[in-house]
Amino acid sequence: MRSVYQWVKRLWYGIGLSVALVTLGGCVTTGRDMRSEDRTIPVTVRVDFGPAGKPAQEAQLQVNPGSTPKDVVSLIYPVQSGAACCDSREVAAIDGVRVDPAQNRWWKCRLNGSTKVGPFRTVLKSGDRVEWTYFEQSQ
Amino acid sequence: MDLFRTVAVVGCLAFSWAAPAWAGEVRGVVRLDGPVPAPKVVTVEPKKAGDSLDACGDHARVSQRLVVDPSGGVQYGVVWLQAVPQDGQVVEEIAASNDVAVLDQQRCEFVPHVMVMQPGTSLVIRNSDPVRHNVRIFQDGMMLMHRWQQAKSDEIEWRFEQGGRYLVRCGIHPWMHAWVVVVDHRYSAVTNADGSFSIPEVPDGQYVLQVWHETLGEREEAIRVGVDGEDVTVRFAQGGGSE
Repeated sequence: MRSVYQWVKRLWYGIGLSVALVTLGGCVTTGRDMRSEDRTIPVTVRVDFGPAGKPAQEAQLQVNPGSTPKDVVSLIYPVQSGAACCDSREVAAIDGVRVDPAQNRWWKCRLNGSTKVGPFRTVLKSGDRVEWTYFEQSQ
Repeated sequence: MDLFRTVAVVGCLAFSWAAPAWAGEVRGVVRLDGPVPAPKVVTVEPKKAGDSLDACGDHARVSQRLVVDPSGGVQYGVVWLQAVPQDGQVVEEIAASNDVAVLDQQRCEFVPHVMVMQPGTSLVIRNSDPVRHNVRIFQDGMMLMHRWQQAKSDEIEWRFEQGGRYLVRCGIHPWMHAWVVVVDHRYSAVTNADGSFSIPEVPDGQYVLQVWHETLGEREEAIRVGVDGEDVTVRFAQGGGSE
């Protein structure tokens, strides 16, 4: 009788230990998910509306790895895509301010001061500074 | 019988097309009221810093967007007729065109600056420059065509199938642009340096004379064309621009 009691007791300990391990595992998994959020990178984005007359905006953002300059500006303004030059993925409008070929007004993107950037291709790094500028060229 | 009828109809059409006794000329001028604006000098700068523009010439470049002569005549206005329905019929001739028009690139300018043509006309884009260009065609802000054109290379041919206003630009030389206006018939013209225009052989009738200019916008005048034609002056006010 005593041995049966010991056996049931061990069974309950086993079940309790299993439940504890499963619970702990779940917590560890949740912890991993939270750390993936921590893996976002800091970038700065500035949007200058130039001749469109809207006030410029600058923001410091935490963005997901793999983000592009176009992704980043999309976080703070509605962006429309369209072929201003060569590809339908180009930025055609930011916050309703469209490229205007007749007025010779365009959106230009700079990354850390350089225009050698693919607005929808270049993957941003931590600390990058993205500048979107609406400008008008002489004609 | 059907054949006879067809021949008769075609014969009548051919006769009326060749020598319409009722045709008159619409003559006129497009003017800008008020003081004549000073020519605007274009700031020429390369798209990429450091690129040479020597091949484009070192001449002063005056904007073609608003060219006004001392009398107020406006160059590069596009003028065309829109027919008014008469007796239930619209006197408007839709002509399929097999014509070819040439838009050249000379010293990093499109020549001519403004063209008018009919649907179906092929636009031949030529590069007479010793430098490459990047030809783009836009309509309503949307790009329809984009091609590189090397120095003095083969011509690019583009056919406009529908009426409308089309903007041609060079993607390398930002100041270079031209307008192609496609009108559904031959009753159209581009104003000369003194603002004058002439649309010959217009059938007798009532029309709306439409005018479009790239910086001044649009105007229209109702006119009546008889056998002696019609003289018309279209006036734009200062500061009434569009686009």
